[in-house]
Amino acid sequence: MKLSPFTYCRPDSVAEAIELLAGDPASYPLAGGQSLMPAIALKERRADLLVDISRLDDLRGISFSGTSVTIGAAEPMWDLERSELIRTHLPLLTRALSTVAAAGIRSRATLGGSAGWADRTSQLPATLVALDATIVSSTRRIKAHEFFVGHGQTALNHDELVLRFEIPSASLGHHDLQVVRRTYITWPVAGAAAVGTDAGTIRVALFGAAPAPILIVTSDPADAAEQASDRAAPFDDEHATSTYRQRVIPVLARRAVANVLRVET
Amino acid sequence: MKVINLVINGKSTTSIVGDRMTLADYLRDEQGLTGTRLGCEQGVCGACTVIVRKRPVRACLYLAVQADGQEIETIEGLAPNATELSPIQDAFRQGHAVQCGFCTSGMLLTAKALLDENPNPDEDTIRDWMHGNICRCVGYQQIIEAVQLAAEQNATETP
Repeated sequence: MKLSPFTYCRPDSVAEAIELLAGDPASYPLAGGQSLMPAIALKERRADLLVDISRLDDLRGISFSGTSVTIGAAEPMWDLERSELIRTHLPLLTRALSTVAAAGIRSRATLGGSAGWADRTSQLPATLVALDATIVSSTRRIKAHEFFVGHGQTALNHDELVLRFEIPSASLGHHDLQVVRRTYITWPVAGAAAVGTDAGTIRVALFGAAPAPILIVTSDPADAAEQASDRAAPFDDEHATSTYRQRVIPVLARRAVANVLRVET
Repeated sequence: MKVINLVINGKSTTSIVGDRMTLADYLRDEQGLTGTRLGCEQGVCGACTVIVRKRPVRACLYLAVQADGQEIETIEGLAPNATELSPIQDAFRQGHAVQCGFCTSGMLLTAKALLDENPNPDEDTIRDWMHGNICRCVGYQQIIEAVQLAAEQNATETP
């Protein structure tokens, strides 16, 4: 379907972008547009104003500080996937990115967009939670596990922009990613992103299990499965039933933790 | 309405476009480059794939105004002239990788972007790149084989 009318603007600064967003309740920040544009085309979202933030320097770049990796919110997944720095320090993120949709989507899709969209079945919000990422917005710093509050819902205010992610290096801990999917181009059904920490515990974050990622910190596969089963708030969608999700989620949690442990021992 | 400057298949052009015009509609309706197909218009099918900065992108999810300043490569720019095919086009011809042809433009451009980045991809890599393009004739096997053929020809040309 063709897009309903809207105004497009490309501000030169974060401050100007925020002013534009604040001035119109039906405004959206636009970067890669790989979730927003289909939603507008399908009339699931109505936009009066699209504020293009993709060329703002404050939202770009990939760097390493010695303990954490900083990733600009509008950096395309294409560049993140190919970043040696991310591959070295955040191998779980590289792996998760490679499972997102297709090359022709990742060429424009951004990590900031994926976080802001906060789809309940997306692997990237869960990966950010597992990696204990800090989300730096135009006004504050928020831990990923507090940022995602529901399906399509984040802690962000309407006039607040995600600028960048700060993610502690996880190069030494092993990781695992479980993804159940029906097709590649659409959202997954469910999955688990897990990473070993310096403290010897494993952080596993579940997606497709509840409206927001579920974080479990454990060192025991059976405990992960039990917690996953207890805390799951499964739902029906066009890819799977809630009954299926309730059954598969503990299995994925157990496998992810077991796989992290197996390579560590 | 906004003024945009684009380079399309090596040729500079300046246009005035509406804010909501997609790059796909712009190429087809304003530039007459109807080789870019419009299938789903929601980013799923990949028929509208064009190449921007060496990357395959969905022209239906990309506003023309967002592409301001970019170099765009469409299917019309693939063949070197009116009588010769590019190597990937020739591989599709040899491998019978075309049925109704609707998905072919997007398939060829995705395959070209892959082979430009990685001249000798293995089968898993080819499948990983091509799965974002849907062929409703279900001619996937021949399409994968055609990309493999083009990759093999790359390998023999670059020892």
